[in-house]
Amino acid sequence: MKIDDVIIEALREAGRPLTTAEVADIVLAKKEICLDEIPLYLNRLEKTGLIVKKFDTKTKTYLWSLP
Amino acid sequence: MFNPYRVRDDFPIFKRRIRGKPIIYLDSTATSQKPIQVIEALSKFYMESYANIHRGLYDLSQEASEMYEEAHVKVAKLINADGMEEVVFVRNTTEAINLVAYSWALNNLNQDDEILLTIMEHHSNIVPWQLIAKKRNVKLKYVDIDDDGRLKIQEFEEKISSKTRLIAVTHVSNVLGTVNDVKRIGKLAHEVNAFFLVDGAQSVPHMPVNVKDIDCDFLAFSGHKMLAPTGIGVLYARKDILSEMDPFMGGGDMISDVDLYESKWAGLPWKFEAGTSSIADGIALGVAVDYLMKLGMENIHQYEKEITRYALNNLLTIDGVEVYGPKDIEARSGILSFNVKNINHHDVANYLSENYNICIRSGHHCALPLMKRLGLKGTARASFYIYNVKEDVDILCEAISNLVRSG
Repeated sequence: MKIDDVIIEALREAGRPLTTAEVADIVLAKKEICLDEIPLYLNRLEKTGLIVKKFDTKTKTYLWSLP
Repeated sequence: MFNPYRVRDDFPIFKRRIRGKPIIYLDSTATSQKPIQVIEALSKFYMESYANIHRGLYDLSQEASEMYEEAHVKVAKLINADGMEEVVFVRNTTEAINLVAYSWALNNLNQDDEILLTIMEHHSNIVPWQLIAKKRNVKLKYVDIDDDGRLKIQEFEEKISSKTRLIAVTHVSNVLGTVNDVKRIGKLAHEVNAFFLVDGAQSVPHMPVNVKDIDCDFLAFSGHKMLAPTGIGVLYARKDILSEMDPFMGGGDMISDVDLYESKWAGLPWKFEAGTSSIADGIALGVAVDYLMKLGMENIHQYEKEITRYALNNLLTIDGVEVYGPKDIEARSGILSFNVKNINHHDVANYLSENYNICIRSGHHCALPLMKRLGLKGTARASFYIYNVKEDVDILCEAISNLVRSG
């Protein structure tokens, strides 16, 4: 399974927005990948419109979810 | 007098606007921006002088050969090497270190020999030695850091032995910004006849580095971090060492004679520059060296200390910001790694980029052993160079303060 698909599946299964760290933990548990690559995948997926991100001012984290 | 505003005018990229705002580039530790002089030299070479080197009898080829050789001479002057024979052009710092690993270490290290590294090395000064250690049954040892992010010098004394054949140390940590006392470490290495390799990727672009003064056997650095294009880097080694080493790669332009079963090598440094080199990038590296030397490496060093002091003092006033590495400006370079309490380092970088066009790096910075030692998954990292001004620092601090206050 491609990293893109792992991220999208993780967001679908969670059923709620996930933080950057939460997505990273899920991907790392499923794929051998450098930790620093995961945010790059998130940003690219967001640019293509497959996922969306929102900055949560309360928790000061980015929350990633499906559109 | 060093004037960063005048310097900044030489860098066309700062005229660009993203989302209508200027770019605040604080990632020169990863790679530097390029002045117009370097960009034009690259373009002019392709438009007016381009040809392959060392083989053509025609004017263009001879001109290109002279320009490429002259670039080696300029680099030699920058680091006070004994001429271009001691300056091998490679792709980058990583390739320079791998050249030493495969040409020197693989042929000179034996079972039970030891290589001494430090916990603050970039992966490029760890992984090649792991590969050699496995091939030659060599032992790797590491020197730790103290709570301030400085190397524990006494550990060198404890860990160096008659088995130590190589000490490989970064001059400046790409995470902590710590400037290591390489002169002292080199002395310790040579007391036991060990070879001494310095990773100069974060020092050569930013401060005077004199290979005779630090008495290193090898010095590796990248062109792209010192205003030159990507694809060009340097391995310095003393002539007597390079003469004894076998080439890393075989092919054209590195031989004096080839028979069916044996070959003889060309002179230095060409013995180590097999195939068609990155000719244009090498020539542009020479122009980048001209640019830096005109500014003066000591002036650059002093200015970077000034802007780093300003940044450090301001960052430390923001609630929840923790800066890693020495707080004494004399012991550090213009690299500031930090975290903001309870905020993921990648989120910090994304926030600064999205809202302020601030370009910083986030993550482990290719220094995972150091991150594990510090108990961190990563940091945010801002780094400064000749074109950064205090206004860049002000925007960085304002952005982080707004992030902390948001909500």
